[in-house]
Amino acid sequence: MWRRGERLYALLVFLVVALEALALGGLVWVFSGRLLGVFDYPTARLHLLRALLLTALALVVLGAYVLVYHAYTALKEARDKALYERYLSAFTEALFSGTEPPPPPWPEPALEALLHLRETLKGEMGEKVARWLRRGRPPWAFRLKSRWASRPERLEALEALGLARLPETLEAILPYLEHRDPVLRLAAARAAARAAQGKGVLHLGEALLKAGLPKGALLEVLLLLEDRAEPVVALFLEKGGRGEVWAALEAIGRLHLHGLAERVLPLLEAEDPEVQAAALRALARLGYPPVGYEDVVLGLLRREEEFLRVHAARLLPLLPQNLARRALWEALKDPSFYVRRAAAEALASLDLELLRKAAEAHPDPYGRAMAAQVLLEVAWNS
Amino acid sequence: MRVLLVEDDPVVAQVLEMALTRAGHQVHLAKDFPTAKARLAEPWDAIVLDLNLPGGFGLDLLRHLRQDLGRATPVIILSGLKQERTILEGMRLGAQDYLTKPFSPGELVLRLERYVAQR
Amino acid sequence: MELLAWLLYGYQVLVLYYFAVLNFLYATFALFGLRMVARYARELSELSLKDLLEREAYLPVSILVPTYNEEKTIAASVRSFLALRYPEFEVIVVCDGPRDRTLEVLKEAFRLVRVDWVFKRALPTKPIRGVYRSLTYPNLLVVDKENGGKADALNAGLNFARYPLFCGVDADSLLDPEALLRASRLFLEDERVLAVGGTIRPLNGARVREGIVEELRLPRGFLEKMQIIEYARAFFMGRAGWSAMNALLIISGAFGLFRRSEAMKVGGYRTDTVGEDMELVVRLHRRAREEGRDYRVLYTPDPICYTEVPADWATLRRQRNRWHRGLWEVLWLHRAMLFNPRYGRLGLLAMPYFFLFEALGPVVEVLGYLLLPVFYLLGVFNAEFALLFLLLALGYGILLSQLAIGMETLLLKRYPRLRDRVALLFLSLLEVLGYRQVLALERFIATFQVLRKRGQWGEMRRKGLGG
Repeated sequence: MWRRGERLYALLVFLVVALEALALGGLVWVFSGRLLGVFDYPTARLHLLRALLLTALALVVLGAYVLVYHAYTALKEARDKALYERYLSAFTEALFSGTEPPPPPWPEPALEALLHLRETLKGEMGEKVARWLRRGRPPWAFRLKSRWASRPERLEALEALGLARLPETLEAILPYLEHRDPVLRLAAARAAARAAQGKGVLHLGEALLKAGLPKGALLEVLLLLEDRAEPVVALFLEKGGRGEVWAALEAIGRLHLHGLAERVLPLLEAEDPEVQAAALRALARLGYPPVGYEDVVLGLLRREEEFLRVHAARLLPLLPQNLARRALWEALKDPSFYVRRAAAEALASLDLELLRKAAEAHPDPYGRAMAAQVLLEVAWNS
Repeated sequence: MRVLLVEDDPVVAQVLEMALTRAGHQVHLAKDFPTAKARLAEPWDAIVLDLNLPGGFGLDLLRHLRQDLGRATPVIILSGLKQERTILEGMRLGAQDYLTKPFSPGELVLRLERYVAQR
Repeated sequence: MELLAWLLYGYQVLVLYYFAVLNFLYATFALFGLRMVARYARELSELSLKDLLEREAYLPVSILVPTYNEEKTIAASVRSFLALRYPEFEVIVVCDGPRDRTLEVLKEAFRLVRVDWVFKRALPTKPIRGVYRSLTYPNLLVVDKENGGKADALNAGLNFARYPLFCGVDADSLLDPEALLRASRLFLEDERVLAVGGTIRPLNGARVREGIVEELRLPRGFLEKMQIIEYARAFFMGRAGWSAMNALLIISGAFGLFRRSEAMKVGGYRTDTVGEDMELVVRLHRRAREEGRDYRVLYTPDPICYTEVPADWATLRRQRNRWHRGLWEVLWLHRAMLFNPRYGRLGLLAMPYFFLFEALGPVVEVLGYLLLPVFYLLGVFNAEFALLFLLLALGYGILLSQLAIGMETLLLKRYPRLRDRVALLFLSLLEVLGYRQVLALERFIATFQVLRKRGQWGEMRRKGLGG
């Protein structure tokens, strides 16, 4: 949402501010001096005039720069836009008619058009765009490897490579997963997730284990991998720390990786309640009954942590029916509003009749109220 | 056939327009929610619907088409949204198909033609 | 007599010191702000936002819309909220006992049906009269309650909210469609984040079609144009600067995203102050520091929220009066933090700044003007000197405004016409010739009204979205 190229502006601002600070400092000095009788009136006046002139100069220069910048960027952008649209139609035309696109070298807006096409298309057309991208010899991988590229350039290059999804660029991206700068690490993780294919995915997994990304970011990366995620998720479960295991569990649930469902079960007994909750959520999303761990789940219903009880309640419908019914009936008595709600919603999906009975005859008044509420919502949503 | 294309992304719009025009169809483009809603009233043979539109959500357009206008026009949803909830909601509201981006234009056109032929 | 002259001169030097420190701080903010905005522009990837939207890695948000008498604009506003680009969110409109047809308008526009909703009364509020759901929008909830003020309405909304993040907005806020994405992304990327504030920009004059801002144009009114410059200064330099120092005290009520659990833990909004938005943020800071937690309260510079600003003097002055009283009330409520090293940069930098320069600033300024005739009468008035000094002070003011306008030029969604740019630059000259002074006077008066008018709001004559 911001334009590039404000380095000159920043420099100008810094200069202006520095000069004004000096002028102001000078004034303070002189005026204090005058108070103590050191300086006389003409000196003070001179300094004041100087500061005033400096300010006026700064105003004029700054104002002029802003106007010139505005005009220049407006023109440049109009030109780039025209170029972009021209090349976009040329490329699209070439794609559909099977002809060759205009020959490289291509200006930056043209590469941008290709990236957008690559993002939009899959299959044969997508591959053709990829071939053209390679032919255009884009500077991104080169910039990543260079020592002199600036941070914004690197970020731009990473984003472009993420859009390009060219598997051979992975080797340029992966080193950034160990970069000092967390923003670059995150950008690299995202780009790598999009670009990695085949064996590259495993390399990415190994690199992620060392990258130290926050768990939200790890999950995002796994989701970006889509149907390539399974080996990395398995790797996280096996060798990952707390964040990686959490992200792996979330990914199993959201990506429906049934093949790994079995490995979720032992994590129901993990030490970290967040991991336990993630395991509960994963099983619920998969619809995978926790065979052999029923008592563990029931035990989680009695835990102190409210969120554990909530997620355990949500998993109950996957337990053997009688066990589930009894446990949910009990859970309606829970002191926590959210647990009661989760129990009522779970009961609604398991046995609506029992929920109706609970709305009328449950011993706990809050349980009754919640059951009635959920019944209403069910009727509403159908 | 007359196809209404509801899509705000100019790249996707251009690709689809070309694909559909080359297949011999008449394509009309609506770039945002209010325009699309207005044009839904016209007779269409098929609709390609994006979900993330400026000014509204595509599924509301589908709801408007099926429930308020009562039309059974074949609709293919083409969206970047991959959440299961959204896909299920779209199918529940009566879309014939839900394709995600990136997509293959040839495949989309074939599917669209098939749904229209089935009517 | 010599002594008196010397003393008065000494006072002038003090004022100079005050002025120098203030401008030095402004300059620091300008630099911090510019740096932060430039860095952020680099860091934010459009692609990452798209991915956030398209996949399941997001945090659902409850949008709380407190409303009073807004029958003319509420339907369009709520529709614009419902059209936001976000995978999962709910909109909770809290009607704070409106005396006009706000509730009826909502009922019609969204086909509301009354329901008996069970909710957790975690925060005390005025009684709820009714709860309504929409037949057409499943994620819309409307709560009708007895009048209790904006903070009370927000607390009521919080009681109904069920998502981990909540977003407090004004009923007339027009959010950028990607506002939630951009702001909530910060929560996902850093678990320490407690609250995020966005940029507010005046909507007046913009071409709006069905809730979409199509083009920004300068409004015709002089006051509205002035406020464009003011808001640019306040956000791109002020808030950006404080956020870069992790000492952001203000998140505007027009758009702010918070972790609901944190806000509930500190007890929600306070209902006995008109600065409830700032008060909540200060309280969040305070609690987190007292507990020794590592936390963040951030500002995100992407233009995110448009709001209608007052177009007439009366409403504008009432608004500024209220803001200033709110500031004093918050400073008073949290006076224990002032100059207190226990609160780190907040206690030693941010709070003192707001006290000495924001709250007391108008007092110093107005006193400065008032003392000029006094000096004249005492025969110690040096016209040339006073004039030069005044020019210098005004010059600095203009410089800051120009810096802010320069920043605005860097935005993608800037005022596109070159002649608007020229107009803005010239208007920054006019700002210091009357506009500033009138508002300084109003805030000066507000300072003395704080005790009398505790917690009182005013009304705003509404022009309507797109008007």
